[in-house]
Amino acid sequence: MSWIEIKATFDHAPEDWSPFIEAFRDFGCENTIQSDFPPSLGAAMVDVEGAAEQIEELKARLLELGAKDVESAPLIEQNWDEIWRQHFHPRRIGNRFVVRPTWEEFEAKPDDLILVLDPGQAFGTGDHPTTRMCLELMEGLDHAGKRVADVGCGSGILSIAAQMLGAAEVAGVDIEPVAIEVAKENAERHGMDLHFVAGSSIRDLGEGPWDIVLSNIISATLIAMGPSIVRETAPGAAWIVSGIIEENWPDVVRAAERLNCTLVRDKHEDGWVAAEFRCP
Amino acid sequence: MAKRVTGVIKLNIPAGKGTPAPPVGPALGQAGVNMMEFLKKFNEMTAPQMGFVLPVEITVFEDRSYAFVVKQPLATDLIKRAIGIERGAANPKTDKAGVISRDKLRDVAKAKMKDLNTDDEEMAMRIIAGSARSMGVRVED
Repeated sequence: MSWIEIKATFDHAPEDWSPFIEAFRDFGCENTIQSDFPPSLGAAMVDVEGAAEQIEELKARLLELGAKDVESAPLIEQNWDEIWRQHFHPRRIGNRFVVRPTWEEFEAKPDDLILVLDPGQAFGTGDHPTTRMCLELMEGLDHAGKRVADVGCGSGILSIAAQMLGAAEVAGVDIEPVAIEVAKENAERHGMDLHFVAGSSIRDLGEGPWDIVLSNIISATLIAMGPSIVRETAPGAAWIVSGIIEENWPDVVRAAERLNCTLVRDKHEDGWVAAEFRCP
Repeated sequence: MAKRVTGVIKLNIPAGKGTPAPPVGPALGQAGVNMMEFLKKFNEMTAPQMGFVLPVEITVFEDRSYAFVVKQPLATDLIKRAIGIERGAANPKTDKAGVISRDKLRDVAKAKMKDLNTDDEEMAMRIIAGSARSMGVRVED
């Protein structure tokens, strides 16, 4: 996908930037970057047919609102994540898991389960407490012969881990198509044939019931998806949740209790919470 | 000892729905920030405000750790909510999107005051009135 960068510059910083941000939004640019010295507001548009006309319209709008100048140019493709990649090293998680980036070597012990990942532009590097705590909770669960659903699969790290722990079938869904691509690549790298699909619900994964559900998303989505997840699980299924900040934890517990789920274990780290519930 | 600041990045991102699409990804990547980690936290914190675009200021330190502050929603979003409209006028010179009362304008101005570089309420109201006009919203006399 190629992008066109659009940047509005100003003589003086606007007293309120929102009309300019709003103009970008009207043309589909939800993300903007702002600079105070010298004052500018930048965004990017996907280079599709008709983009040039859209940009002309947007330029006119920004100038009318008081921008001094508006420039546009193709965005030079770069590996944005290159820099922090340099600091992503193999790390041990729980007792048996080791997460290793594709570009690093690691000397494994016989019992180790090595997750080789290229996180790309998807969530889930194993470097984050939410993923780490999920993996730790998963280690305590018997996966042998189980059907596992990974809702919000991101890079696919949890799906791959579930397969390593002996799951009979693993399927993952994510709302971001780019995540599905990354997840498929990551699974192939482990010689696994896992089912990943773009979608927004556990139902996109096909027929239940699932024995284990993994969901490392955000709490609002967890709460919203709760009823469909519980409907699609076998009685007594394990539901691992993560991606919850402490402030939102009580809401998640209440929502789970309303669905007759029982809290089995919870882990807290660095302001994040992960937990295992037992489904009715 | 306080850590040295190596950069400050100001972004406007949709609440609860941040993605690494440009310009967010390139800006954070170049600064050495683990962008997916940042976005995950941003999305989790801001999900209740879904529908708003939120200004966020990220301070990056020399060890690539970072801190961020989420500001009040955009003034234009607050105006839209105050008068119950979905969007502003595409052509504010000719089209009208709605009318905002002085009281509601004052509420928006007060909410945004911290982000507007002024502690004068009248001044803040004048700025917000300008933003309202730019989206075809008339201020009640």
